[in-house]
Amino acid sequence: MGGCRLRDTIGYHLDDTLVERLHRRAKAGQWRLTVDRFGAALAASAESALGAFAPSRKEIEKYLHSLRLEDLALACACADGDEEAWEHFVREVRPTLYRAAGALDPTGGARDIADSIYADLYGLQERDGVRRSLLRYFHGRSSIATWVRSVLAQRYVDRVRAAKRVEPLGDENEGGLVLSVPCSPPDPDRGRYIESIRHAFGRALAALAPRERLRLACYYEQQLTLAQTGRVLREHEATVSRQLARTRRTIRADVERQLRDLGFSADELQAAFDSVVQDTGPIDLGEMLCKKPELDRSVSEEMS
Amino acid sequence: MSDRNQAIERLLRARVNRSREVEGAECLSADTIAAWADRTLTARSREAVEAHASDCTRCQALLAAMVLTETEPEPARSFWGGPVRWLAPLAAGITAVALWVAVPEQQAGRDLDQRPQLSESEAQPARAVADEPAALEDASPPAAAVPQESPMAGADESVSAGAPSEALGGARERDATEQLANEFGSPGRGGVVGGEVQGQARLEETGAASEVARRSQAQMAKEPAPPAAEEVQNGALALRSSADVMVEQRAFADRLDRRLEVSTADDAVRWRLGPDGDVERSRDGGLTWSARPTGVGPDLLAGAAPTAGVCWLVGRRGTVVLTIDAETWRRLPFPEPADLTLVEASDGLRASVTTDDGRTFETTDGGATWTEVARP
Repeated sequence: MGGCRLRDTIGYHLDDTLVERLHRRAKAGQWRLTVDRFGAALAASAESALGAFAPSRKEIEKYLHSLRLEDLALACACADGDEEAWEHFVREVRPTLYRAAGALDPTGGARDIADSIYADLYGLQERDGVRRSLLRYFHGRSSIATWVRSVLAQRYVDRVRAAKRVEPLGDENEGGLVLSVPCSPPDPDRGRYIESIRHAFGRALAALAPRERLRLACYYEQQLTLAQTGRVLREHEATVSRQLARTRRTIRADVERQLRDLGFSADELQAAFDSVVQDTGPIDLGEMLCKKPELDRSVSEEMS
Repeated sequence: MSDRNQAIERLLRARVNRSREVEGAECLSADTIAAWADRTLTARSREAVEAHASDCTRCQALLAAMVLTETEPEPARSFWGGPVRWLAPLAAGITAVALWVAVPEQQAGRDLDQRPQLSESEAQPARAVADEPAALEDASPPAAAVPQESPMAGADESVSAGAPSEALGGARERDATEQLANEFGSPGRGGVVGGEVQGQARLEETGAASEVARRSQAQMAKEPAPPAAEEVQNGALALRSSADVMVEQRAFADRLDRRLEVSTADDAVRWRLGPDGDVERSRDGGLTWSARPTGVGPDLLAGAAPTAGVCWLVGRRGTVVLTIDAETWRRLPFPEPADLTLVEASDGLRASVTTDDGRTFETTDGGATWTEVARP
């Protein structure tokens, strides 16, 4: 079986002694992986990760030593069609994959993705008589189980996003906030207020540091809990909570400043904020019947 | 002021990160995301990942998915994380040893007092039967048993879900025993325990009784452990004519004999197909078997296992299933609803099957497409 065809693309020349040493450390011999073959995989990994940086020899060596060598050897052997390696891989990684699928969709919706990934990892597709395993793309920068989880996450997210694209237009208006019909007589300035505040809000968001935006996105857009958001950002959940509160204060201050700069009086400023609070979201006849807006995640606990 | 805070909160819910989406080649690769999750990225690379994800909803979702699928979050460090953590198991160990030294003599004395009549050979099967109802309860809905051999024990729904396990083989054999025993029981008592109790009554009547069978009914009602299955079976058989017994034994043997065994290149690994469509795999040369349910029912007629992990099975009405990991099966499309009586395979991609009317079809892409081979 053909495995990773790497030699053609290798720009790095790795020291033979180094490769042999890493080959031993990876216990690649147990999968009948030759030193040459493993060396090619190492070189491909280095090129993939460091290619853009023109690294020094020492940097390359440091990088190679940081790799999950045993997992890389296993991936190479599986991609090359070594049945024993494949059985080992299945034994070790399969539980992780199915657990991850269950975590992504407890109703079992991700299970078929996990199964299809297995087929791709095994390499059911052939090109020019050579089995093409997805494991060719594993470079040892993480554990193989994490990498498989990452592949699953990619496919799951893409499927969910694709499904959203074909859904009929719902409550999410790409253009911005949806104006609802108010219960009270309409304020002629309401549209102007909302439009102004929306622009100011967008600019305030853009002015945030990437890390702050990511924190907001994890919490609001991805609906992660504080603890989960903290795991994304390597922060304690209490820190996440504090930082979110601080960011919201920053945004609010920025929006107020921008509106004042636009000439809003104090009353108009308050009316603009009130307009946003009173907005009931999507245009829905049922919703239009004098329902108060509902906030399912109260801000009051974190904003004084 | 709180209205303003609410307004910001509302805006965040409605608007955050809809401003810009980056997709495609710019997005983070699976390799990078995995390295991010395993914390092997350099600080610079990590910042780059965060910077990208802060503007890319797809990659935010990916990072979120990685967090959601983490098996164990990093434990918070506490004073307990130091050498102190060894104190609890150490203390528990010392306590256990102390109890072991102090208690057994008294306990052994009580045990002897409680069951002086039971010989060792009788005590053993009695315990086995006491465990049996639970085992059968597990096996009767197919989802309950998990293969001993499977690395996915407790985690793989597909294995546990259709799927009697290794225990099912034993459960089926017990089913036959149970049938024999239950024929002597009252119609309403189909369970193994009921059957055995009834069988035991017969044991008393025929005089072919053991120490267990000599107990009074009152003692039996108090005694949670039912009698041994072997005893029940022997007692039941004693009441039947030899011809009946022969018929029953033949039927039972036929059930076992009809298992079609499929060997692999690895002598230790074997597959077998049962008459009910059950598929089992052994990794110890046939000593023990664990279920590998295919979900296709009793339609399977033949199999081929070119490697230890790959197995093709074919059957009636164009049934073809394939596993490449010795665990999960994929049902493959077949162009005709013909009965397939033979399969030969060289790996997980290439196989040829023969229909009951002698035609041969080949695949070289793992069963995605089939080509009929022209007859000579």
